[in-house]
Amino acid sequence: MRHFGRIAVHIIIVGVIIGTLLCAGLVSAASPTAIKFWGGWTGPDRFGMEKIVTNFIKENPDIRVQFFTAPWTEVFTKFGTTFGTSAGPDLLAMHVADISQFASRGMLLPVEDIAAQNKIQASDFPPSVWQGQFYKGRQYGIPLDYHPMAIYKNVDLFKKAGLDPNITFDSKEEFINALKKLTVKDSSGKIVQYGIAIGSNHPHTMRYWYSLLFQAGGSFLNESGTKAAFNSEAGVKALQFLHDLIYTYKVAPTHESDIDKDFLTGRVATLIEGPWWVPGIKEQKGLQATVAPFPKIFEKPAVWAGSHTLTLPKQANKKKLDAAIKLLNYIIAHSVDWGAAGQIPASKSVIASEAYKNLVDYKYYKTFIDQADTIRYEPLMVQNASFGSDNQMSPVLNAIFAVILNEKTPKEALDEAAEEVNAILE
Amino acid sequence: MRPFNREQAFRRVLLRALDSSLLFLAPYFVIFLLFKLGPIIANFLVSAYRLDIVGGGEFIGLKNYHHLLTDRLFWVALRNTLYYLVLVGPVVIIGGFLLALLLNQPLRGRAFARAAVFMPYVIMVTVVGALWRWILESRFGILNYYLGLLGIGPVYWLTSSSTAMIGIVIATVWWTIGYNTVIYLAGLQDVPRELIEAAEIDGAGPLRCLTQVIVPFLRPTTFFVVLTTVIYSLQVFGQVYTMTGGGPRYSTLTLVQHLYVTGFRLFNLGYSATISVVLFIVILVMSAGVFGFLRQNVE
Repeated sequence: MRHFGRIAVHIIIVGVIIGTLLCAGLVSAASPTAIKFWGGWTGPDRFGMEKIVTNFIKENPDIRVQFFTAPWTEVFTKFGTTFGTSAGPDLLAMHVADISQFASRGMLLPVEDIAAQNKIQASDFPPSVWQGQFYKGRQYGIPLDYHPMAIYKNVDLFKKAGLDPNITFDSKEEFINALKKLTVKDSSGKIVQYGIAIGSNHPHTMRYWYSLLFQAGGSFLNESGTKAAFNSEAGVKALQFLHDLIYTYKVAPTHESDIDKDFLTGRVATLIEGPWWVPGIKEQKGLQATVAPFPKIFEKPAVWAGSHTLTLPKQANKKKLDAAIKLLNYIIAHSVDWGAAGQIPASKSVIASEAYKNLVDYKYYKTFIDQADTIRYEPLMVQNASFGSDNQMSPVLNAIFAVILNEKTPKEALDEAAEEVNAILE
Repeated sequence: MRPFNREQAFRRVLLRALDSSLLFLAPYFVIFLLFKLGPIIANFLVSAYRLDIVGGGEFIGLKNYHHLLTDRLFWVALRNTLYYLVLVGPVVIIGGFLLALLLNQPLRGRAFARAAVFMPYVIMVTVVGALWRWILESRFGILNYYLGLLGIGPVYWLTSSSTAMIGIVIATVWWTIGYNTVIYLAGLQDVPRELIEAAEIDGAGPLRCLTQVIVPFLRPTTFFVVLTTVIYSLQVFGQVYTMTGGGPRYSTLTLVQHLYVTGFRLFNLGYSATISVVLFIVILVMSAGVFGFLRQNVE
C-alpha cells in the first residue's frame, strides 16, 4: 500500500511538470513579442512615460512592453551585466552625455538608417539637440527631449520687493539689483530671505558655472577636445561671479544645502532649475511662480542643458528590434504626454501641435523652448563620466564647491581641476 | 564477527555523513560557493585585469595597484574611511555599552526604551539618509534649531567640508548604536548574579563592581562588538551616498563609494576590484589587530 502511494505521488509530480511545460509552450507560441524598455526616471515624469507605454500596448496587442525605471546608475549597471543576453533592454533611454559610454563599447546600434526609414528627420529637431546624438560621426540616439535651465521667480516675493514678476534678466547689473531687493533682513539685521540659492554640494552649481563659462566666451575643453580650457579668464570670471553672489553681494546664503526646498518655502526668491520642476512648483500650496530664461550675465546667452534620448542596444533578435523601433517611433510621436510631465519634447512638430500648446503649463515651457538655440551640452565623450557634473567625484564639480565654500580662489581651484581633467583626457 | 571491509566501511561513513548534516548543509554551501566565495576569489583575479563591462579584459598584472599609489582620491577616501572609523567606533561601542547598562536596570518603560533604541537599526539606509538630511539641514533643520536655543550655531552639518563627516557620524550613531546595545544587553544578562553579590559582600561599590566584575566578564562580547564595528565601519557607504554623495569637496568620500563609482559608473571594473582588494586587506589587518589585542584577554 505504501509502495503504491509513493508511485502515485511520482506520477502526479511528473504529470504536473509535463503539464506546466506544455502550457508554457502553448502560451509562448501564441504570445505577443515581448520587449523591454528601460529608463531612469524616478520623479513625476515616469508617470508620463508610463502613460505613453500603456497607450502603445493598447494600440499594439501583438507587442508586450515591460517598462522598467530606476535611478540611472542602476539602470546602466543592469544594462552592462545583461548586455548580449535576452534579459537586457530592447529600448534604452539615457542622457546624450551617456551615449559615448556605450557607443564606444559597441553596445548600441547606429540609427541613421532606422531614423531615415521611419521619417525621423533632423529638420524636426533643434540643431543643437540633434547634434548631441552623435558619437564619432555616427548617430546612436533619437532625441526625446531637452532640458535647459531657467530661473523660477516667486511672484509674491517679487511683488513685495516692488519688482515685476515677469522681468527677464538681461545684464549682470539688472540681476544683482533685483537680487539685492529680494534679500530681506529682519529688525535685528539678520537676513531672513535671500535673492537666490547656490548649492554648496549640488551638481547644479557646476551647471550654473558651465552656462556662465560659455556666456563669458569661454569653453570647457579646447577645440580638439584634448585639453581643459575652462581655467581661462572666462572660467574664472564665471566662477568669481557665483562666489560674489554669496560673499560680496550677500544675496545668496553660505553653505546652502537645499536649493529646491528653500525656494518652495519662500526662503529664497529665485531658483535656477530645469523644466522637470514645473509640476513640482504647482504642488506647493500658496506658491505662485513665473519662469524667465537663464539670466544673461555676460556677453552672449548660453545655458547648460541635458537631453534624454532613446537608443537601441545591439541585439540579434530581429522581431524584438522591430517591435522596439515601433515603440520608439510611438514615443517620439506621442511625446505630448511626456511634455505634460515636465519635459520639453525634442520634436518640433510635437511642440508646434495644438495638443502641446494647450497644456496647462505651456506658458512655463515656452521659456525653455525659446532657449533651444543657446543650449550647451557637456562634452559628449567617454571621459565626461569622470569630470562631468553628474559624477559627485568630478574634480571640476569639487573645485567649484571649494570656491563656493570660500576655501579656494577661482583661479587656484580651476587650475587644479584642469590638471586633473588633462590627466583623465590623456 | 564479520571481516573488516574497507570499502563497505567507507561507504557506510559516507552515507551516514551524506544522510545527515552534509545533505542539509549542501543547498546553503552550493549558493555560498557560487555567489559568495566564488566572486570573492574572482575579485582577486579581476584586480589584475583591465576589465570593462563588455569583453574579456586584458591581463595587466599589478598595474592597477601601481595606479592606486598615484590615485589622489584613493588616499583621500582611505583617510576619510579611517577618520570615520575613529569617530564612530568609540561612540557606538562605549555608548552601546552604557545604553545597555541603563536598559538593564529595572526602570519603568524599559521595554519601550529597549525597542526605541533598537528600532532605528531596522530602518533602510536610504530612509536614514533622507531623514537626517532634514534633521541636519543647516538653516532650518531641527538640530540647529535646538542648538540655536542654546546659543550655538548655526553648524553647517552637511555642507561644510570640515563638519560633513561629523554629520554623517551623528546619523550613523543613531542608526547603529542599537545593535551593539542589544548585544551587550544579552551579555549583561549572562553575568551571574552570584558573582555580583559575592563582590558586593566583599565590599565592592557599584563602580568597582562594574569595572572589576561586569566589564571583565563581558570581554567576549566586547571582542565581538569591536570586531563587527570595525568591519562594518570600514565598509561605510549607503548613508554617506544618500546624505552627501561624498562631498562637499571629497570630505566624506569613502573607499566603498570610490570603488562603486569606479566600477558602476566609469565601468572600470578591474580598478574597482583593486580598491576592494585593498579594502579587504585593510579590514583583515585591523581585524587581526583587534583579535590579537583582545583575544589573550578573552581566553
